[in-house]
Parts: sequence; structure tokens; C-alpha cells
Amino acid sequence: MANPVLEVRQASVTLDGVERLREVSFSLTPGEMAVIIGPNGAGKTSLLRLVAGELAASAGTVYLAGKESVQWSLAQRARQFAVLPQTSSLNFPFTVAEVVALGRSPHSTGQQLDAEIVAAALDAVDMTHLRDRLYTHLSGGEKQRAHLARVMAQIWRAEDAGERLLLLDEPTASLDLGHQQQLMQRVRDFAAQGVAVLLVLHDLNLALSFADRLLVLQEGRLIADGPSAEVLSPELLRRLFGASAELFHHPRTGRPIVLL
Amino acid sequence: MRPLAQIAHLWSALLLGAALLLALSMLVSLCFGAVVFSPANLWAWLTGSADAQAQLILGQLRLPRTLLAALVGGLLAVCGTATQGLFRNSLADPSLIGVSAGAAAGASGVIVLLNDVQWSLWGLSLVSLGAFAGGLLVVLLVYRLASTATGTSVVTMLLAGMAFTFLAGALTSLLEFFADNEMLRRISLWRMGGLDGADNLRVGLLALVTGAVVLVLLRQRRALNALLLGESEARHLGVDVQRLQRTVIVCVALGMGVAVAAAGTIAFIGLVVPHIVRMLVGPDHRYVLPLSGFVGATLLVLADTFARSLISPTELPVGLVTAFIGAPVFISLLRQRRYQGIGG
Repeated sequence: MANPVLEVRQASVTLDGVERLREVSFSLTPGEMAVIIGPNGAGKTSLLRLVAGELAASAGTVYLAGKESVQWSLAQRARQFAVLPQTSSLNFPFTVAEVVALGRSPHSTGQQLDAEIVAAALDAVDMTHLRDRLYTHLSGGEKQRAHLARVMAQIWRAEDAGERLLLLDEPTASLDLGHQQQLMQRVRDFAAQGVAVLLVLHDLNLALSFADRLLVLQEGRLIADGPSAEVLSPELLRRLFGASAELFHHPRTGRPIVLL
Repeated sequence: MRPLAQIAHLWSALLLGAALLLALSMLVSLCFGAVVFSPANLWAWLTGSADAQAQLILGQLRLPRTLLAALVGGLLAVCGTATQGLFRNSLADPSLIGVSAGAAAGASGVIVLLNDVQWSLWGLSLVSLGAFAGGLLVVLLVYRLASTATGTSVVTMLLAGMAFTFLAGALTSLLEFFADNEMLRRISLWRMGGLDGADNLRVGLLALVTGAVVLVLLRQRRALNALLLGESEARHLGVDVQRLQRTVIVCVALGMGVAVAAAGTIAFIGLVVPHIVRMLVGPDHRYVLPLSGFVGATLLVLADTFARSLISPTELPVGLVTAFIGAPVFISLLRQRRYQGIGG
């Protein structure tokens, strides 16, 4: 097995006196795509923010590419690890291509190469035809895709990024069904190029159809971790959400489906 | 789409054009005023064959004044650009963080309380120094109030700026209450802004500060662009946001303080110029910062020429002229912003 890009070891996070995460441990290898699920307040976003370096662990350690998270400088971190927030407050009239190009700002790889990467990232999210459109004129879904292209461009090449990790916080929140699937497929393809992907999703079925692995959080504890087909059971869903649900298997792919 | 979509290819031509426009406006400024010179007179002055009176007016009065106008205008526009970047709002203005109100209180304090003291430093009168100190003090207090161990809250800074603007305004009013008629006249004239009293020393000081502020801000252009995405996004792009904020605030406080000290409060340049430039070339600070500087300089040189010539030999305060030009421009921008894609 390859060396983990991300390793969280016995990490706890306390925020304003409240323990948000308690002794969470897991690791992620290149190319792996893991989805964090759990009820509201289970600590999903806290876990993502811990890995992103926005929150400090009150106990335990986070290792990024084998090195303790706190030892990474901001600039080093930005070259290898990209973070897509839930919403963005950008309200300046950059063109779509310029927004994506901002993702290249941690690197000094030259205009020529950056332009090529921006074009490729735009192509990957099907936005080439919108490249000269003003960001402020885009729909919510298009904005989200533009930002996905931006964070992908940030860690596009293994040559200048090294081991890469992409963190996404509910990337599909503002998207319709078709675009949800499309975006998840793009992220999957990106992961297949050797990028470790960790994301928070609310939609269980979306998580089940795209994730290699589920990380299940409840009250700050990681209560299950493994391939989605193995991890998910009606009992777990009842325990997590207090909702009765049935589990089926997709007739074609064999992946589990949750029906409430 | 924006008017100049392929800005990268046009950039050097655009910058050269802006510089030429500034040079042209400065020539116009040298020609007009209480005494009107023809281009032939200017040429004679440049070659040193003009008469003594023309030498005096152009060399000692009009040239320093034109240079001062260009420097103050450029400085105001650059500081405005940086403030809008810092607040991630294209309608922000340096006066939001209390610089102008603090400067007005400082100037009024000197006019009322130290009326008889004649003293100056580096070509700046005591009133100017009072304005500089007042503006800087308010920014310092606002920044301290908005900063905690975890960082600087831009929202708190805005609110603190408002609170200190009120406080400084109340202080100014109190001073005005105790002032006599002559002091009141001086205070209100100072507030309208003016470029009279320009001399080589003052021009030199302004050139130094403008150069430093522009250089430091230009070095932050990439970080400023990333900051437009949001603070945590910028951090994830490798930007030390707290250091960037501190750098920008120091630059703006210094730049605005010196501009206000040299020329009083001059409205709208810092607000309108970056706005217009952004409509033309987009929000990339690599282009907006230098171009705003040139456009702001050109605008203030022309406004000052206008202020000197309109009812000559009397001068209008240049701050009045910029307000009368700036406010309608701004109102029309607000009406159009839906179509121009200008964020709020």
C-alpha cells in the first residue's frame, strides 16, 4: 500500500469549550475518495477544517504527506492541498478564466503553463465556453463549478504539487440533480489521477454512488470507516439519524441505495 | 464580457496611454490659471528664455502645484483601490476606517487651540501635521479594536470606523462651537480641500510616500487578488492574510494621512477611480493598481486646473470640484451596476 497523504491520529478538537471531535483516527492514500457522513453537529465540518489547518487539534496529530500538519508553511500547504468551501463570497467581476487562474497563484510555473492548466481545468468541468464570462453573471451552480476548476488547477500537476489532497465541503449543496452527478464524476476522475479526496456530503445516495469509502461521524467520534457496502446498514442509519430506512442494491452496479 | 477582454496583450499600450494622458493634463494645468500661458510660452519657459514673471509663476507656483495634484490624486486612487480590495467591496472608501474624520478633527484642533503657533515640518504646516496625526490615530484605534489574537475582523473594522467617525465628528463640532468666525472659515475651507501652498519640499515628501506605498502594494498584487475570494480561500492559496491586512492598513493610513495633510479632504477620487478602472480592465490588482494611480492623478490635475480657472483670480476648493464631478458619476455607476457586473 502507498504511503498515506493524510493521516489523522487520535485527534480531538475542542472549540469554545465544546469537544467537537474525539480521538478520530484514519488515513487516506493517493487516489482514494472518502466521504464524511453523519447527522448535523456530528463534527463533519470540524474534521474537514482540522485537516485543512483552520482548526488546531487539542490532542492528537494530523500528518500531511508524512509531516506534521503544523509544520507546513502556508505557501507549502497551498501547493499541495486545495480546499473548496461550501460557498464563496467573491463579488468582483473576474472572468471565469481569471477565477480559475487564481488557483495557480501559489505556484510560479510561468504564464504559458498556467494558461494551459487553466484551459484544461475549465475543460474538465465543461466550462470552456464560459471562460470569458464574468463570474458575477454566473448561476449558483456555474459558480460552484468555476471554483472546483480553481481548486483543481491549484493541484493540477503532480510535478509541482507532489502528493496531493483535495478537501471539499458539501460541494453539491447548491446544484441540481444533473449537476450534482456531473460534479461528483469530475471529482472522481480527478481522484483517479492520484489525488486523495476527502469530502463532506449530506446526500447519502450521492455518497454511496461515488465514494470508495465512508467515514461515519457521530457526536465527534468516528464510529465506522470502510467501503460503503460494508459500512452501511439499516441499524447504523437508525442510530445516526433516528430515521428508519431501507437499504437496497442497485440492480446494475450493485452499489447500496438508501430509501427513506 | 468587459470592454478590454484581452488585457494582457494591451497592457503596455494601455499604461503608456495613461501616462501620456497624465502628461497632457499636466501641460494643460501649466497653461491655465489666473494668468493664461500659450504652448509657445511654455516652450520658452522650458528652454529658459521666458521673462522673469513667467519663470516665477510656472517654476515656483504652477509646476509644484501640478506635481502635487498628480501625486495626491494618484495616492488617493491607489489607497482607494487597496481599501476596496481589503474590504472585498468595490464601494468601500478609505474614509470608512475613519481617516478623513480623524484628520478633520486633528486639523480643527490645531486651528482652534493652537491658532497662534507658526511652525512647520518638511513643508507641512501645523494644521497639516494635526490632520496627519488625527487620521493616523483614528486608524490605529480602529485597527486595535478590530484585531484580536485570532486575526482582524473586517466587519468590526467597518463598525469601529463608523463609531470613530462619529466621535471625531462630534469632537470637530465641539471645537467649531468654541471657534471664532475666522477659525470657522479656516476649518470649513480646510475641509473642502485645496492644493494651494504647494512647494518643492511638499512635492518631494509626497513623491517619496506615493512611491513607497505604490511599490509595497504592487508587491502584494497576487495576494490582494486571492483575498477577493475570501479570507479563508486566500489562506488556502498560501496568503498570510493577517500580514497582508496589516500591510494594506499601514499603507492606506500612511498614504491617506499624507494626502489629507497636504491637500485636505478630497472626496470621491479614491472611490470612483478604481471603480471606473475596474469596469475597463477587470479587478486584477496587477492592472488596477497602476492604472488607478494614473487615472486618479490625471483627474485631480484636471479638477485643480478647473478649480483655479473657473472664477479666477479666486480659487474654488478642489475638493468641491471633485465632489461635484464624482457624485453624479458615482450615482450613474450605481444605476448601471446591474449591467456592468459590479459587485456590491
